[in-house]
Amino acid sequence: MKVLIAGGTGVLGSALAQQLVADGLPVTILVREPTDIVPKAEMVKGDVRKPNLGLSLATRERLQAEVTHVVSTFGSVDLDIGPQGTMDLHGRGTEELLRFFRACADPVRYVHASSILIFGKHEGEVGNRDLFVGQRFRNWYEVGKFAAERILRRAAEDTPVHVVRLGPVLGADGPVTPSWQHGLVAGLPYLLKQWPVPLHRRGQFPCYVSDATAAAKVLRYALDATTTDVWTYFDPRLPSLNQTLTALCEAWGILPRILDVSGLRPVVRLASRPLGLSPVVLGYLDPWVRLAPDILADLPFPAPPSPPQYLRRTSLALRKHLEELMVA
Amino acid sequence: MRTQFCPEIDTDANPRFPVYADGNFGEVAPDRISPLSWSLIGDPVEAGVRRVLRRLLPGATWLTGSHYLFVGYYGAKPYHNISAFCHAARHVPCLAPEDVMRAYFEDGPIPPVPADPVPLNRRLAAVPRFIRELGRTRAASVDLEAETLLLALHAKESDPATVARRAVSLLGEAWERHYAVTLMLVPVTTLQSALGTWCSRHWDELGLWVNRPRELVWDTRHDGATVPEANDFLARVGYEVADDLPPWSQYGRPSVPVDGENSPMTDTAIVEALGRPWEVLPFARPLLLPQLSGLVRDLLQLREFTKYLAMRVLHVLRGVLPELARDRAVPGDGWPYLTIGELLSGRDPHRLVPARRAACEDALALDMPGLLDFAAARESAGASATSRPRGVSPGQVDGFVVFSDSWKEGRWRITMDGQPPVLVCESADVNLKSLLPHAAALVTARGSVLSHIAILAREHGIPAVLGHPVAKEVREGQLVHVNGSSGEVNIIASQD
Repeated sequence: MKVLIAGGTGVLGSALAQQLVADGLPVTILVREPTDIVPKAEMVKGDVRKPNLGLSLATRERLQAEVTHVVSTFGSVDLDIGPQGTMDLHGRGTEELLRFFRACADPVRYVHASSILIFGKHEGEVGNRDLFVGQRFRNWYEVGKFAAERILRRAAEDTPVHVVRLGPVLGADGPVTPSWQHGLVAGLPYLLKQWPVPLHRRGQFPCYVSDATAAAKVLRYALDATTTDVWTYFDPRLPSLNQTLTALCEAWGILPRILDVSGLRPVVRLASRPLGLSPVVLGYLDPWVRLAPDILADLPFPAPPSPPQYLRRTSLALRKHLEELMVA
Repeated sequence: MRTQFCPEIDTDANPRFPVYADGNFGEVAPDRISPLSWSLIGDPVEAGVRRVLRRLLPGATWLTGSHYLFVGYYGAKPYHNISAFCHAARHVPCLAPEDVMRAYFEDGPIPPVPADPVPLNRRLAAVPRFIRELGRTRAASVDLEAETLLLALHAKESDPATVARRAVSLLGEAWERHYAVTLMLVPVTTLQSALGTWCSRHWDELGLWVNRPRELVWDTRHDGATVPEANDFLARVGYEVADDLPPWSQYGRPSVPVDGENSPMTDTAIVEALGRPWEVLPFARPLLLPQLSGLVRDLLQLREFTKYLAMRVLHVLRGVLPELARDRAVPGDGWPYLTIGELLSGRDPHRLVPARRAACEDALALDMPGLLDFAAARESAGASATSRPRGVSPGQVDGFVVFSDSWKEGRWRITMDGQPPVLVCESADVNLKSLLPHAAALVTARGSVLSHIAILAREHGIPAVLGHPVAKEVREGQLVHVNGSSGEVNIIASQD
């Protein structure tokens, strides 16, 4: 087995790369700017948005002769991404990586890290088999993730593709700390200022968060699976959005001001940009998606637990990262 | 500065609207056209635009006069009168001269227009007339198609003079409809852009996707080109009716038929979402955006359709004019030097040929500029010399430069590392339509947002950048990055 990870410098991809290297497996990370985040992993400069992944002919031919498994974890949770960016990254990027995989000498498995946000604003219950349920989306990131999974679900008819859907991926045990620009963490500066956040039922609804190392284990299982399938994984303890945001603020000793006041929403929406909060984030004030209650039972193995206190340790790591940035 | 270059054949410069540009001719028509072709384009366009604008702006006295108002012919080169078109824009609500220049004249500098203000009530009164004109144009185009088909079917069996007269009449209607749609597109797209920008911060990216026509007439005609006549038409789609006679043949733009694999298109899930964003994302204030966008797409299709009708009629004339010339005792290579009126009704038209031929020889020896300003006694290379590159069809791609001539000769298959071909040319129109399914991107040195090639590129879903100077600098085989949204084209590497 030789694994190519596209997006291997992100929180999830680097955690997976670390696990694979620890298991003694050869890993190649496709990256736009090579780094040494995961020592012992080969870094190859490329770009999923470019034809042939932006690889030289020689590199591409070598990799296609060697690689047997491909993992796509590229595309950070950039809720501000525009339509063109989504088109390039999630559309063309997925097609290019799939084309690369199909041209490999021995294509065993393609594992795609999808997102529960592909269901957009759909209010009904959804399971692993569902994809298009008439949903409308909050932003172009959700459209892109949906389109990427749709490309791959269609490709699964003749290509061994495995999809793993995840919620927000946090954690501090991997080589990479979650970015301040993307996902849940992007709202942290606003929360730390204790400006009010009008969440439905004060955020007492699941956000399907998981720890990166636990989620990476699920991807690892998918690499070894013998059938193509769609799985969903999240922290089985199912912390609510309120619990998650409260834990992320813990390192600063601040309690976020989470309210259930719907009348506050227009005010927050108007003031969002001046307050440094992307208005797109305001699309997540209500329950995100309703997953089938037994969805974790579809995993052919016990759902890996997320490490204890991973949210708190994420908060500590973020604070430390911020202090390092300020010193720099 | 001269107000005429070749008095024997030139039109007179308009004294009130003195600025002309070759934009929207220069990138679609041959660089030079014969006097006969001019009489089949210039006269009916002039008459047609005046009729349309008189319906839209009744009582506008500036639409009268014996000088050509909207077109001009200098040194055997066709021009649009951009100062007249910009002046017309001032009479329409939500429209400004810069909108016209951006849409059709390569975003060139705005010419001076008469300073007298147009009252708001008069501008608003044009709105219902625009709406009526739209309905009239759509219905008339359907009838026109039937008449054009009948003309084409019976052309070979009928008297050439009768066919030619009927063709000239239909041509007048076709150009009138074509310019009516062309004029209406500008205020509609301007309004759409204003609303779209208000509704979504990503409108500058979405606008190009939303305005992708679903189907253009050229596709169905190419797909159904099984009869010899259809194939003949598609191979000689152009404004010059004497395209097989020298010297006019050297200015022609022959179509380039090609076989080969199509470049891959991106998954339609995102493309569908981009084309109808208000259905996919909850736009807070979609207002009239879906309806306007549907109207823009319809107008773009109608614009191509009316142009197609004009080209069909020109093609019929291409077939009957030599025969008509023989009947009128005009030399076989002399008829392009006459106007259609002279050929049909003139007394001894062959006597005019020698002087016209000499005048055209002089005209063709001139290096005619792209911009003529008769008031400022100024000429320049034209709007294209100062215009900025425009991304007119969204998407990004890396590929190797291929010129259309290479394509014709089959050399396009030589690529490096399986990189797709990027078609690069000076300008493009329907003659290169058959290449578009095989190209990954298009880059031209000339063209505007609403030009025909922009519409075709969007319909085929390939990134396109028009008016980029790199189109004149690149060499075949160089690797380029094309961004059809931002208008950037960068040379990445050269093929060794």
